[in-house]
Amino acid sequence: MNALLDWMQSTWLNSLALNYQWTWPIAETLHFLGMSLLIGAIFVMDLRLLGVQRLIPASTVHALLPIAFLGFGLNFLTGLIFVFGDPHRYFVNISFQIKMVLILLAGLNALLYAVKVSPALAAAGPNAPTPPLAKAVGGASLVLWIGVICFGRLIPYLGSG
Amino acid sequence: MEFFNWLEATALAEWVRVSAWGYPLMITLHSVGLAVVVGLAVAIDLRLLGRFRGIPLTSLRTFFTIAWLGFLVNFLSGAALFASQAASHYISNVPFLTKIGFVIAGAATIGYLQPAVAKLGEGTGADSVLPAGAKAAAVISLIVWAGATVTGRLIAYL
Repeated sequence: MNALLDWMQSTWLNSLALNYQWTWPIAETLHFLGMSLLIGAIFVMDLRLLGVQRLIPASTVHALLPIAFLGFGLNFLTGLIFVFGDPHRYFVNISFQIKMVLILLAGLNALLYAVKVSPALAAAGPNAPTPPLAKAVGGASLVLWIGVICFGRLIPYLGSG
Repeated sequence: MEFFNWLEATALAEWVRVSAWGYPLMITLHSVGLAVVVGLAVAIDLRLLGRFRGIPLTSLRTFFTIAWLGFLVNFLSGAALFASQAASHYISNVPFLTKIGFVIAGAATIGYLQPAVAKLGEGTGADSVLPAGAKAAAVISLIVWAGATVTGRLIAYL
């Protein structure tokens, strides 16, 4: 593990993060913009899955996915700058570890949406009752992503590092 | 200035400033509220600019409400954060004051768009073309919410 962290510290990403005064603030700012894009799209989709706004056709909420992926992609890239910039701090940090587990669970949940829920909703047509699985997936997504924000923001305050 | 000195001396301000959990709790709530307000404002603005036309305009009502809920969370958590260093830091901090300007402008765009959209009725597809004024407000909304996020995050660095 330590060898991996040391290698990360020898990469150009580490230099990018640490050698320029503005890399970190700019990456943080982009990380918050990406978070907003992701959460906005996710909220609209999840509220539809929960059956709050059934007038919205399932195919239309599906069209919000690119916004969610744009936000996630932006945050994956800026997140790499953080962890390569200070690997010894992040990987031992309990808040960071919980955040990564929540992202993994949110990813598996999204996979369930793609494989099971989305096809079922598309077949059901607009304003049809929302299947229980769709509600479960939508609710889990909301809780998981809010958890990701909380534990992400708490990294400086929780645990060591 | 006397008011801000008083504010900074309140029990709430002291709790945020010195307790182990006051500041982390408030800044975390502020991040969740930020994602909700800005994220939903962006989704609403994009819809009003012609994306995702399958979403009926009436459905936006729910998203306006939740965006305001996020705004309320951030007004309250933001007030607590502000109080913690009101006179000694924030009231003379240029990035903070700039951010507040953007937030007021953002709230004004959403406050203008919400009744404007409600008046348009059901509206999906080609029926949901908005008046030019509403489209302009949606563009301004996108810009000022991005501005609020950027200047807000940079308070810690500038």
